[in-house]
Amino acid sequence: MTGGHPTALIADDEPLLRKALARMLAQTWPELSIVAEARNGREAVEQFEALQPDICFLDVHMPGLSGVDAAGQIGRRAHLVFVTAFDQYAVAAFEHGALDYLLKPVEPARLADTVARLQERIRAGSPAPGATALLEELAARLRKDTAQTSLRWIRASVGQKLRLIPVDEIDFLRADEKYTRIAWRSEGAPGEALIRTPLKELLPQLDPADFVQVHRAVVVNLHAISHITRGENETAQIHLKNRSEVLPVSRNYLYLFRQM
Amino acid sequence: MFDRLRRRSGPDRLAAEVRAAAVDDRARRLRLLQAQVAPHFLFNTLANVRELVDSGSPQASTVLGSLIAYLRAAVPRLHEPVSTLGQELELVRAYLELMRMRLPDRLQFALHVDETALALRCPPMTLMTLVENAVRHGIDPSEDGGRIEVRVTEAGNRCRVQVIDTGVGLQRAGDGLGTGLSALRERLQLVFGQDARLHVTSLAPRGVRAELEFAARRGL
Repeated sequence: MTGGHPTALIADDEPLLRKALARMLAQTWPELSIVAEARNGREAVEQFEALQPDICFLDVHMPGLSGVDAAGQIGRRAHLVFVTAFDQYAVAAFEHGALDYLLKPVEPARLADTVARLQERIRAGSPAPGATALLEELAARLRKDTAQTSLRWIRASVGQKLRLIPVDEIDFLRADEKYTRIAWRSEGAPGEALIRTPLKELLPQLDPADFVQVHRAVVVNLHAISHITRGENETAQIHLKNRSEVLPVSRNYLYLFRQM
Repeated sequence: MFDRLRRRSGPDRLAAEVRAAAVDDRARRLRLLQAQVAPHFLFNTLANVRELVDSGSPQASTVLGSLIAYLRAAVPRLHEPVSTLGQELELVRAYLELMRMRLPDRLQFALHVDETALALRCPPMTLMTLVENAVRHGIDPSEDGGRIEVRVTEAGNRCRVQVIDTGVGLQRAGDGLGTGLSALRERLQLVFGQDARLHVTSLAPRGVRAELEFAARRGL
């Protein structure tokens, strides 16, 4: 706090939203002076270092360095308030870490609560709560969201060896108790491996143009299918090229194989 | 149903049908994906509109008009099998206007469109996917932003759509194409068969050009 009045920084890449928050804060907390506005995480950190404001309002989603990245660098040297339009995962993480956050469009009543908490902490001279591990995890998660790519290799132990199985050589994946059984063609010959990653974790990482789920426990590569036969009670079986194992199709997934 | 299917179709046909059904499934998933993405766009846009209203800006009504146009065009889109390029352009223009209001210092755009192309058939969300990609993967991640240019030309019996941006470019070597683009490829294949081409190229010094070419057909 410099010269008695508390100070704050507002970081958001959308100028109207910086203006909106500044205007609402002027009404809710007239003594607070907004000493800096930043257009991205990098500027936020720079401005923070230069001016050392008491409070930083950080938009989560900003170009370059995100608000969460910036928070990691500012650490506990300022009271942090995250601002986001819609991000269920981030909001859950903030709640879990008892970190303050606002949802856009910002509601005056919610802002008043946040302001009351900040005033109380500043009055009592309490340090800003720390949440380094949580912020790191969240930052990694946000980076992953923007770089979503399909899995290309699966690492599996086969006997004493670690094998790298190219995903496009996989015929199917089948849940097998705690494991997932991977069936692939190793230089044309059928091979199999067990891995510990559950099928439901693998599925979102596979290219949906090639891999489809046909049963609670089965995901098949469409390229590996020879033909399909109908079974009893609205089920079906998938017969594969070069493999004798027949895969079940459950009722919920039958629509994948209906006639056009 | 499967007996008939087997009698009438060889393995290739079957594979194609299975693939098409999977595309259906993906379209469904894409709708879900968009339902997850849209709130971010919507709430950020509404936060901007609210500021315009609260500060008594004369821009408020125009921006609200763009939002209404965007929502009207975007909401029922994927359910319709085919729309026209003219409809797509209306949606794209409303979207770009809103994004420019939100990122006035980071987004410029221009649309150059052959009048004759407006009546051409075009699968819904085609142009929109390309433009949205340019914003989300080109402009939005860039501190300095950039410019988006949309060009639509009709020549011979072909329609050519180009979306050029000067954003951060294709990042992370290898994939380049997001799930949005690969789903678009599948939708194009369903409507045009082999008769549509989509190329995405890196530009120097920065940016991306997405180029789409398809058979020019009129009427629904």
